[in-house]
Amino acid sequence: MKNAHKLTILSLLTAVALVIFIAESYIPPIVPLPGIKLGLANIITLITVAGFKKRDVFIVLFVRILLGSIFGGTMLSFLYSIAGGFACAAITVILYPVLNDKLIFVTSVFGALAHNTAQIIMAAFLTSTPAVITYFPVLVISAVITGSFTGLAAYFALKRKFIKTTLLNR
Amino acid sequence: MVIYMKKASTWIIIFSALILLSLVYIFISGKTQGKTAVIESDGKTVKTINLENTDSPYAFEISGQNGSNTIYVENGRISVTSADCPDKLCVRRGAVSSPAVPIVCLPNKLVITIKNNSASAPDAVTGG
Repeated sequence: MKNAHKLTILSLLTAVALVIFIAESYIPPIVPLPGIKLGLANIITLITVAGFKKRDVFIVLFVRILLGSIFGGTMLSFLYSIAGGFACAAITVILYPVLNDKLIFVTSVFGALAHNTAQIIMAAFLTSTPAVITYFPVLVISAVITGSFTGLAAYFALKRKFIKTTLLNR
Repeated sequence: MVIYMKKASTWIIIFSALILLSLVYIFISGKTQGKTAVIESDGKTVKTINLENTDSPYAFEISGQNGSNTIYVENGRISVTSADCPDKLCVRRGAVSSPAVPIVCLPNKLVITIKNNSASAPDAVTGG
């Protein structure tokens, strides 16, 4: 894949992730607990890891979170997002080569678990209150459910001919 | 062993078990009624309230670094009735009486946890 082509595709993925991220922030929380969200932008992270190098995945993620926090968030939300996003990307990048496309929902669930764990640790750190760790079981349930959902979405997206040939050049 | 790890069904079982375990944990810790509510603002314990000794309900305000929350204490329960944070998740949480899940206001750095210490706590203590 030529450099200009690759740059365009990655920019496209970042833009789509950004839109999903911001649109999702407008959905009112159905559960009155902080940190429970759908995490749909992670679908893009999964698609990116399926066709690009590890470094590209982190770049797409970082740019998306940076711009997302500038456009639709606060400095506080940036800290939470970057903690969760980085942990999720790290796990995704490690697990995807092992598990591959068929088990991408597994990678997604572990990514979601990493995301929520990193966020709760960040919350404990920022509020100086270790007691928030009590939230962990709720976040585990949320991570498994949302991770499965986004993982399935990525699974079916990767099966589409358009995604495979045009985006990922496979 | 490796063969099982490559099957999708193995992982579905593992994840379902994970959800089940978490639900059981939440359910069990939700059964125990808490005696003491510990209110922490920005990491420092500002109030410890014995919920069982509360005869008449009362409310008070906690001012944190970024904003304030109004806390309502009644016999056996505690809740946040109003807050000036943008998401108001703490208010929507409702009243809490078990140690299962604390009330958290992340923007105002407020955490209310219910503890079960059998050691008698004073009715109300103000710190710092």
